[in-house]
Amino acid sequence: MNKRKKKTFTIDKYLPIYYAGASGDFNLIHIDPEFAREQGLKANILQGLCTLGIATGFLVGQDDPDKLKSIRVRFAHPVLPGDVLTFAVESTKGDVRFSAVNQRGEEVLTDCSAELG
Amino acid sequence: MNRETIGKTYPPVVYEVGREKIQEYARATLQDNPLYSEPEFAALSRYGTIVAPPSFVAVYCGEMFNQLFYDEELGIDLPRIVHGEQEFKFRKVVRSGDIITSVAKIVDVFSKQSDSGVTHEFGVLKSESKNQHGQMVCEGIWTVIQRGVEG
Repeated sequence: MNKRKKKTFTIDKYLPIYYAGASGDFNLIHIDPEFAREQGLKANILQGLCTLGIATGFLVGQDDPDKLKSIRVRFAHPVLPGDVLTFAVESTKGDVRFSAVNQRGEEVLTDCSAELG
Repeated sequence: MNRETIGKTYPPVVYEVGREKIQEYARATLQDNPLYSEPEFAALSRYGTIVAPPSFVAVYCGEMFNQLFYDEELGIDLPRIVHGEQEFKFRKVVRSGDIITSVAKIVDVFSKQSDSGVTHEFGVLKSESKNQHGQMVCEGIWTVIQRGVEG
C-alpha cells in the first residue's frame, strides 16, 4: 500500500438514489430531501454503507479484493449530495490508517483502519 | 430501544448473489475494478467469474436490517436511526452464484449523553455470513444510533 495514496470522489446528486436501488436501503432520510429536513438534517444524506463501499474501493483499487482482510470506520459527519470526498492513506505501520474528508475539511469518517494482506 | 433484547438472534437471511446485482452495486459505490464488472476479464482471473466487492456484505445482509428495524420487541424509531460505526472482517471473496446465509445477533443496547445533553441510544449487532460450502465469508459489527430528541 502506497503511503501517499489519495483519491477524490464526487458524490453525484442522485447517488443516494442509485445506492438505494443497488442495496435496498430506501430509508427516507437518504432519498427524500424534504423528509430529511423535517428530521433536522441539512438534506438527504448518503447511506453510510455507501461511503464505506467507496472506502473499500479506494483501498482495493484494481487489485484482488482478497487482499482486504478487514475495515473499520466511524460515521462522523453526514455526506450530502454534491459533496467531494478525499480519501487518503495516513499510515501503513501495522494496520492501514486512512482518512475521508469533504470539501469543507470535515472528516466524514473517523477512526478508519483496515488490514491489507 | 429495549435492553432486554440483548442476546436475541434473528432467523437466518439467505441471499443468492447475482452478477447484475454486483455490477449495479459496484457502480453505486464508485468501485471500478473489472473483477466486479467485466465478465470476460473476471473469467480469466483465479475466480473464473465476476466477484463481489468486500463491501457487498451490505447487500446480502440487507434483509437483516429489515428484521432489526421492524422488530417491535426492540422498538426502533426508524426516522431517528443513523449508522454509527461499522466493522467487517472479510474471510473469503464472494463470487457470483454464491448463496450466502447470514445470522445476526443483538450484542448490546445502551444510551449515552452527548455534549449538548441529548441522550442517544445505541444498538450493536453482530453478523456472521457463510457461503453454500459452510465457509465463513464475513463477520460484521454494526452499530446504529437512535438520535435523541432535544429538550
